[in-house]
Amino acid sequence: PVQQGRCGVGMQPPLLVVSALRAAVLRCFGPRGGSVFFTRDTGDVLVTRHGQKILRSLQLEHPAARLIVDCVHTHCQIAADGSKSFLLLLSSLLSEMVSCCGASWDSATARRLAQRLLQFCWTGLDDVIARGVTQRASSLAICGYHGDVVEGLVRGYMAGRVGDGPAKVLSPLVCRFYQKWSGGVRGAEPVAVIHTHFSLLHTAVSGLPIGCSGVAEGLVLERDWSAFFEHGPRVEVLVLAASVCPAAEPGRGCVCDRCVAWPQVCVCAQQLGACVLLSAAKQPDWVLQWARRNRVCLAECLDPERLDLLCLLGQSRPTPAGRVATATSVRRLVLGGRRLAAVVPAHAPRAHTLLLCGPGPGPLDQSVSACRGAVAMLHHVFEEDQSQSPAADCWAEALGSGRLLPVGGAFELLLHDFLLSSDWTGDPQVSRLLARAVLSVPGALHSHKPRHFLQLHAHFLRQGSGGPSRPWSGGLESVAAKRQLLSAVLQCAAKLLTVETVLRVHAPLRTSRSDEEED
Amino acid sequence: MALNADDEDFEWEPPSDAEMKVIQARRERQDKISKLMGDYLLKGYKMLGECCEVCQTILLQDKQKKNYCVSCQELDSDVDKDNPALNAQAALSQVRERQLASQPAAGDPPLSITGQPRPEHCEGAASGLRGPLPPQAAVGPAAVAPPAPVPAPQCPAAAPHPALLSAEEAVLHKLRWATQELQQSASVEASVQLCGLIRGCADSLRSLKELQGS
Repeated sequence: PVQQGRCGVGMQPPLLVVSALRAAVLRCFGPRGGSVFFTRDTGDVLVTRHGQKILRSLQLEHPAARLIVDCVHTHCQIAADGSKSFLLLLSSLLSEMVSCCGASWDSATARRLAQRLLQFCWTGLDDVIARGVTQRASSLAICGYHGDVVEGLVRGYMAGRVGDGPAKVLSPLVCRFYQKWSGGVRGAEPVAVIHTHFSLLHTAVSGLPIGCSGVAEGLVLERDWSAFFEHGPRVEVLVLAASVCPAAEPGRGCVCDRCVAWPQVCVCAQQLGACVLLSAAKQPDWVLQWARRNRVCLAECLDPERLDLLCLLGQSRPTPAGRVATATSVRRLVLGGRRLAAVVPAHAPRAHTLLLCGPGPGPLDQSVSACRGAVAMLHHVFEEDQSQSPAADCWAEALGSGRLLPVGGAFELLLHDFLLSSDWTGDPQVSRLLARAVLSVPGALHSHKPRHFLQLHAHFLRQGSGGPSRPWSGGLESVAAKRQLLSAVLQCAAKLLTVETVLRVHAPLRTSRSDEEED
Repeated sequence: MALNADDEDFEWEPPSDAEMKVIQARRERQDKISKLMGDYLLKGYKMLGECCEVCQTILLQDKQKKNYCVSCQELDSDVDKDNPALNAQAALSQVRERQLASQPAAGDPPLSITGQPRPEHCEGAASGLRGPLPPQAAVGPAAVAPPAPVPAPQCPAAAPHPALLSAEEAVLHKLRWATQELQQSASVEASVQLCGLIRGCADSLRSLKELQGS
């Protein structure tokens, strides 16, 4: 076949691309990493240390670069974090391969190696992690862990995600949010609820320092009350489905096709004693005046999904005028210059909303996505466990069964030791490559203190060989998340190895994926 | 060491020392290139799908649509680094090597730098600029002089030719003048030119001493 614009096939271009991307994001890696400051010609400014955002902001035309960015994006959608670790691992794996093979490289070699990588990924990886990491992790846990497991997990995640500074504010916030929802019960169910509805259970307020963030009782509706009055301990809330029409019957003499008849609303308000009206649509002015005259709270133009969630949590019942739910209280929150309506559903007293503040859209967005990621991470700790027996304290059980490890390189060091030990009899070449490649992650984490890295390594070696054991504390991370990362990196490396030819075609690009390469 | 053999039953052999050196040097160069590329990408350069014809490095494109090859245009290439015509350090290194080769060895243990024609990272040139070599300095009169104001010349035993003496004095005088001007100079251009003059004076003094010594 005719090949146009053939660009250096072999390992060199993909390795260079990965190394360049790694160099671009490495400055933001780890708790002590910095941020990148992007400016646009329009004057827009973006300050971020999120690997995926940085990669999306770079201008990349090389097909290998686009492939890698797509792989990172896919991985981040499944796991909540790890874009920078992904690039670190991928680049060190490829450079180990290149050093190993050097000049004797051809496409047949590459294809065979790709097959072996995938073989290891599908069959060997789980075994390695079960024998080499999980067992050692559970024996570490026997020594005893100081502190709360949820707090350890969130702290470990946040430090790597937003850096030490904002993590000091956001970690206790997320922990408190979880505690309010769980109400002292140490189960995994509250996490599942928060994870599913996170976009409705948080409110972002711009223009305030991050320290003003907090956890508010009930559901926050993101708009202020049009009319607000204090009401008693138990109130009936009428959620209107549509705009109110003054005509006696809807559809007759009325221009809108969906509206609620006003007489029905009045009847409902009287019979049920509903003194709070919530509506997704804008109500006419005379409704507002009526509400003010009769001391009825009114909030309009609300998010329909939040209203649905409120009805779900409040166990609403349908009426001709709309849905009616019971609430413990209604409040008006004041945050700086912004006022927000909050409703506490009666049947879900543990419902709380996370209020996140930030000085500008950039840092605020970062805090929101970090909190969302932390909740997703907590949820993933239990996702792979099929036999979810309702343990009294599922977090301690996760720690004891070896699913959690200290942050800072424990996983990588244990994996490295096991792959090179005589206990593992899998593919020797791939094992050696992977063992050397995984050390790049803790190496980069502790690059400012290489001695600390060596001490950590020695500490784990001692622990493994039955050395002195003592209780430990600090950030935690999930073994399942690390396994997912390794698997994604191996698959991406295999994809890069099987690219034989790059054909440049002069055709309009699709927005989602470039059509410029073929295996 | 290869993956292209029968991969079921081959034995991986670790690379030899020489191969390790090559791998290491290549890796360092790649690291430099990728670090530079990462910096340029963050500055808004676009990574193209094309490679440079000379060195096969991936090309970058700036906002003015001009293509840029990081290794050709920014990194010193491996060859140019040791070409005396292009690099002053390589030139000094060659001069020093010739001097060392022309002096009698006198049973001193030869430095590793003397025998090698092309130091890997111009270590010879760098150390030549740093100061006089410890054992060799004793052999000949002021074998290597740093490009700083030379102290009073060490008189050898034989009587120097008057022309050489006067030439030496004139050069020293110019050296002193250049040093004073350098201390007072506030402009970069002038300072660079004065440093060049001082280096020229040092070279002249060295040649004069060779003549005196021979």
